[in-house]
Amino acid sequence: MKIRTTLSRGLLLAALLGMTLCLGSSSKIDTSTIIGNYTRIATENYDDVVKDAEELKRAIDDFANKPTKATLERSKKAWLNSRESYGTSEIFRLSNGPIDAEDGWIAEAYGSLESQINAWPLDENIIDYTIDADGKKTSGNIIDTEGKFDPGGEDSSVIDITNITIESITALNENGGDANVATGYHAIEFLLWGQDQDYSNFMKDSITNGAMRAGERPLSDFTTDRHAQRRLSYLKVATAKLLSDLKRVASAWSPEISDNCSVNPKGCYRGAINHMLKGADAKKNIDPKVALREILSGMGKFIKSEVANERIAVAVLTPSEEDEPSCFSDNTHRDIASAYIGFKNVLTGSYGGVKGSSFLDKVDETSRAKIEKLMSSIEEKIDSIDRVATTKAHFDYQIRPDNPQGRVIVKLKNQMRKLGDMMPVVAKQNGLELTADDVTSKHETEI
Amino acid sequence: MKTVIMLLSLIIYLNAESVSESIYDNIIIRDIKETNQNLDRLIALTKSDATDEKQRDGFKSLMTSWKRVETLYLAADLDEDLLDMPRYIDIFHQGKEDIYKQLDRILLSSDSLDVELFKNSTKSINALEYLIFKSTQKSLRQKDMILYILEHMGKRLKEIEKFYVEHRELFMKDSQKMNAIIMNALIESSYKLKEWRVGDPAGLSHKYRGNPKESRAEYHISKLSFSAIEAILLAHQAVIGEQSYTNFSAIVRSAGATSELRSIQEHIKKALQLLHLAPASDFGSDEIKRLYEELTKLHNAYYISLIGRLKVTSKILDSDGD
Repeated sequence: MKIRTTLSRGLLLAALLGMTLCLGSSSKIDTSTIIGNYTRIATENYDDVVKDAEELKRAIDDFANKPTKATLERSKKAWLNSRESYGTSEIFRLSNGPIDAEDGWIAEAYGSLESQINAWPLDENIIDYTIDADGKKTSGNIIDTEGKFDPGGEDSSVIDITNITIESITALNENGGDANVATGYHAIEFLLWGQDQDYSNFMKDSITNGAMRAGERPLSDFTTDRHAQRRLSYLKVATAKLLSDLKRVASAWSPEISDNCSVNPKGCYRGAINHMLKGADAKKNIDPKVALREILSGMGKFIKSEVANERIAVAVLTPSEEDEPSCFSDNTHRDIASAYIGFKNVLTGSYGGVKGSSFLDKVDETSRAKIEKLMSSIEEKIDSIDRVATTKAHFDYQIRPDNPQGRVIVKLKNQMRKLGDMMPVVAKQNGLELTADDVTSKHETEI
Repeated sequence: MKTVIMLLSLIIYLNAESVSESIYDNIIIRDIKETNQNLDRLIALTKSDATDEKQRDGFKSLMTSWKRVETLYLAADLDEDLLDMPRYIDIFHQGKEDIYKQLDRILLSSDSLDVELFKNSTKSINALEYLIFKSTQKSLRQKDMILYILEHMGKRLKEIEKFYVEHRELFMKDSQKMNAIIMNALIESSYKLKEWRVGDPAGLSHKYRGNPKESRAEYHISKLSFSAIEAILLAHQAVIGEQSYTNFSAIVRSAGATSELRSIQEHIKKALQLLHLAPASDFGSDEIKRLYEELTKLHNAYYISLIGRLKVTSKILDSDGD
């Protein structure tokens, strides 16, 4: 997660000025327009996200019913698979859309659930035991505490976790600070894989020593351990909540558009962004120019500030294993790849083998060639990181100071930042004004 | 402020190429070579168990020459592979790590330095300062750590030197681009100088107004923060002051911005005078308050007056609010 949405003053002003209004009368999306095709991509991508999360839930439920090596492996596989479609959907972030809008009717309607779904980085110690820097097993976490639990941190509140429920983990999520993560993909990831990092020194790597080893939580944690049942309950509850949250976000893009968005927001964002809401809801319709600017601004911030800076630069320049997104499963190479694919999908207007209207279509030949060359170079590096991660060394070994692959990762970071900086050029050639400030998050971690 | 981008107008300045060439020969190459020589000298001093005083003087020479290199670090704009190089060497105003605590722990550990000093922050010039100035009696481990850090810094600095030496043509190829890059460097440096290096410890910056704290100074352990400020001002003087070689002042003059140039040169001179008058390492003095004001004027002179006269369009891309 890291970077949060803020509606820039420029965008707000543009919204208030309200430019050309294109009133739609049909409920069918016009996919020949950029917004229409963007809607198609979002709808299909979120459909895939929900399908994959449903499979994850089935796998986890089966595992909870019968915890064996095979069911654990199937759960892990389902988690890894679910990250692929979720990864590509992340491009819909930072655009004042249903996944993470923080103000206004969109936030109210869809709950700004990104921080419940994909919060990261997280302090895993509040979830379950780890081996600390002194080699001691930690305690005082959600799993081993029965009754009242204080997650600690600033202004934290005590939650009753006698039973691990959707309500209790929701109340614990980010309770006491952003790192107090109790829900979402990465909480589930930690429960499935367990600790991978050696907190005393990541070069020593004494927890799960080896370049190709991720976290290896023993099956006994789910079978014979005295907290086994709580772990299984936690997994079930966290996955059920994840699915429910994802469905709520996906509902924003539903082709069935509610006729009263204040009561039932189903499909209302889809309606609003395509200027199709009528009656009392018509005021929710988003000016197309504002929508396009927000999309492009979000794309720039996502690739430049979120992916390049928060997810890659912090990890590789420090270097630091704890700053890689999927540090328990060692799936960071896929996080990077899928985030980029999502960016590419929207820029080129493609999803599911179908190419539609896109921002890139309107870019002149020279700029387009420049962007495509940059993307091609980015893809080579993503492929390289992916190949090495699956054959020789996971991402946490690739960022080690003695690994030349670190240079590839640094180059990737620089090129992704450049790509983000190209969004004002893309905007201009699509008749929009976007500054470099609009594609750079104000909350970038200084490294 | 982090990044400023400028789009130069199509005005072609006379001697633009020879200006870039002269800056390359007389500043860029000279400074990086001197920094590498200072680094080699400090390695030799450390290896030969020279006196503490000599070692600390050696550090001061290395640090001040590095500050000059850093002030006019043009490599980042010429080759993206070199973008992060200063960050590997110098962590001032980056991250929120307590490297001193980490270094103290590493000093007590017996694990190999390859394992313990894996973080770039613990191999930075800031880590070096701590190890050289924390005590007069140095353990063998401390000496090994100093040498390890110097070796790490040396690799980076030699890479920068190699790039500059092998890419002289980049400085000659597009003089307008070079002018924009130099202007950008001066603006960015003047901002960081006034806000980070003087304003923050003195409690005069936007971020810390009325809340002075000496430990925010760049080299508060060694008490060499004023030397760093001086080195940066001298780097500005080398680029735009009156010198025996052709420099950026020729560009400014040819654009007819003589009064702006005079004003900038005067601000640099006054800032240096105030710094020399200020009681050593005292960020609470009147001279430092006046220095902050002078540096604000210098920054504005670059950012507002000079850009306007050079018919350059500037735009802040990224402001961190500091």
